[in-house]
Amino acid sequence: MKLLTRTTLIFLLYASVVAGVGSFVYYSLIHKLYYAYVDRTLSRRKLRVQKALRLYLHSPADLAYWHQLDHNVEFVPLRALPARRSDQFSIRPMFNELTGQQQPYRQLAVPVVFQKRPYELQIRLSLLDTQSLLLRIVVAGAGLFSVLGLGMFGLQLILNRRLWQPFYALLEQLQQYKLNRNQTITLPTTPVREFRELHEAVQLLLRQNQRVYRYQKEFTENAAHEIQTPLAIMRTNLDLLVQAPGLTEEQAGYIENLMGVAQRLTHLTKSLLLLAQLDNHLYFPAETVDVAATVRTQLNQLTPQLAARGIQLETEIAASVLIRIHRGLLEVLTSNLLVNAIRHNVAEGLLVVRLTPEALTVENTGRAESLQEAGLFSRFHKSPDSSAESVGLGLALVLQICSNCGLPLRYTYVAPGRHRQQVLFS
Amino acid sequence: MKLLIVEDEPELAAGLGSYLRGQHFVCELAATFDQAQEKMLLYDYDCILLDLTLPGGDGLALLRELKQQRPEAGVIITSARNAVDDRIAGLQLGADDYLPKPFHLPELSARVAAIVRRRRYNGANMVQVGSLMVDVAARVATLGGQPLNLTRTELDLLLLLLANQGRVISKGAIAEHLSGDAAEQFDTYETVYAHVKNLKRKLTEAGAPNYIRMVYGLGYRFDTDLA
Repeated sequence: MKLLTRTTLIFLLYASVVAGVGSFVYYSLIHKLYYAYVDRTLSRRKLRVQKALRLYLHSPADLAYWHQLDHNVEFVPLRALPARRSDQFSIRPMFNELTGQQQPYRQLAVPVVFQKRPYELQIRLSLLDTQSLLLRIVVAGAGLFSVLGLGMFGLQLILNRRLWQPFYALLEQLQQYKLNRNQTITLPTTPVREFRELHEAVQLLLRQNQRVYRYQKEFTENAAHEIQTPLAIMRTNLDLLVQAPGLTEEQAGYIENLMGVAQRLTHLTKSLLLLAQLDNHLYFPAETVDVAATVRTQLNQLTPQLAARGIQLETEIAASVLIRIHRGLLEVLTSNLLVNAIRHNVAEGLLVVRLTPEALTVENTGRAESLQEAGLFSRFHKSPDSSAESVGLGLALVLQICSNCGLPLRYTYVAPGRHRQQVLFS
Repeated sequence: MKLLIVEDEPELAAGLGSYLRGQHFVCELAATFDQAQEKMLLYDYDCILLDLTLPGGDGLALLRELKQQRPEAGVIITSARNAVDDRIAGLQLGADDYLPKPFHLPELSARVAAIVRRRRYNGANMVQVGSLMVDVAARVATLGGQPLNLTRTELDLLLLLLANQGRVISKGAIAEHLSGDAAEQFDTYETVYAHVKNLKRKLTEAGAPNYIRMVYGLGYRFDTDLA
C-alpha cells in the first residue's frame, strides 16, 4: 500500500467518525437550543396571560372567547387544584386548520385559579415551521461539514504529493541506480530537514559503495593482468621443458599436469579480465556479424566432444542472422552456451540448437531439476556434476555479455531434465 | 633470419629467445624502450616481437616510429594488456599480428614463420619438407606433386607442425592454434586427437613417411629425421 493511500485512509476514517458523531451531537445541540428558545417564549406568554387573567377577564365566558380567538391558548377546568403548581412542557399532536392535518405542538401547561375555580392554562406553539427550520439548519451544518472535510482531504492529498515529492524523486532514482554506471543522485532542493538528511545519508552510502566497487573492479583487473605475465613465463618454460631430450614417461605426466593447470589458470584470468572489462562498460565496438556462421563454425569445432559423449545434435539454423555486436563477444557468448550445454549434458543426451532471426535457443538434457534457483548465472557457480576443469565463469560471462549488449537472456526448465537457454535478438 | 625480441621480463625474453634460436632464428633482445628504439632503427630485422608495456615508454609509440622509418618491417605485438582497443590500435598502426599473453611458443613460432615467409619470399609462399610441399597462399598441400586432400583445420595443423619441426608441440598449443579461445573451454583434447589422427592417416595413405609422432600424452612432434 502506498504511503499516501495509507495516510489518506487513516484521515478518511477519522473524518467519518468525527462527521458521524459530530452531526449527531450538532443536531441534538441545535434541537435542545431551539426547544429552550420555544419554552422561553411560552413562559413569557404565560406571564402575559396570567396578567390578563388578573386584570382584564371577568367571567368564564371570556376564557372561552379567548380560546376562540386564539386556539393556542386554552383554559381547561379542573376539579381540584393539583399539588404541583410548576410549568409542565410537553409535545402533543393537534389538528391544524391551516394544513388540515395533525401537527406537533409544544405546550406549556400550568394550573391557574380564576374566580376561585381551578383551571389548567395550556399555551401552545406550533412546531410545524420550526421543525423544517431545524432540518434546514442541520442540513446546512452537514453540508458545511462535508465541504470542510472534502476540502481538507483534497488539501492533504495535494500537500502530501508536494511534500513527499522529493522522497518519490529520490526513490525513483534509487530504483534505476546501477552501481557500475557511476551515476549521481540529485534531489531538488527542499526545505524539509528530514529529506535533506535522507539525501545526504543516501549520497554517503552510494559514494562508499561506489568506492568499494571501484576498488574491487580495479583489483580484479590488475590482479588478472599481473597474473598474465607470470603465467606467460610459466607456459613458456613448460613449452621449453617438453623439448628436453630423454624425458621419461613419468616426467612427461607431471609436465602434462602442469600444462593443464597453466591452461586453466589462463582461461580463468582471461574470463575474469573480460568480466571486469564488461563490468567496466569498456567500449566494445559493434560490427555486423552473422550469428549463423559463428554458431555453425563452433558446432563444427565441438563435433569431437559431442561424439565422445554420444550426444545427439539437432540443429535448426537459419541461413543467415545478422546482428550488430562485437565479434569476440558473440564468439564467447555462443561458445560458452554450447560448451555449457555439452559439459552439463548426460551421456547419450540431446543438444538442440535453434537459430531464428528472433532468438538463439540452446536446449540440452541434464540434471532433473530446475536450475533457476541454483544461481545458474552467478560467478564461480559450480554444479555438482561439473568437472574439475570448469571454472564456473562461463554462464556468468554469457549473462554479462547479454546485459551489456542489450540482449535479453532467458532460462526455462522446459521438461524434467531439459534445460533451455535463450538469447533474444530484439 | 634475424629477430628482435622486445620484452622487459627477463625470464620470458630468455625463454622466447631459447625456443626461437632452436628454430634457426638469430635473436636479439631489448628490455627497455630506449634499447628497442636504438636497435630497431639501426638494424633490419625479419620480424620484431613487441611488448606494449615497457620501462621507459609505450610500445605503441615505438611501433608508430618504426613504421615511419621502415614501413615494411614485420611486427608481432605480444601483450598482457588484453584490451580490445590496444589490439585495434596496434593493427591499424601496421603491426602484422597481435598475440595476447600468455601464448604457446609453437604458436609464436608459427606466426613468426608466416611473417618471415611473407617478407622474404614475396608471394611465393611455399614450405617444403622432403617431397611434402605446402603452398600457404593457395592453401594447398601436395606430396610428390600429388595433392593431399586436407581440410582447413588439417592444413592449419600441418603448418603449425612444419613451423616447429623437431619440437614437441603440446596438445594445449595445438588446441589453441586450431580453435582459438573456444579451445580453452574444454578440458579434453578430443579435437586435437581427432585432427592429428586424420592428418597422419592422409599423409601415410599418400605415401609419406611417418612424420608425426606422439610424445607420451604431452603432444606431438614433426620429425624429418626418422632415425
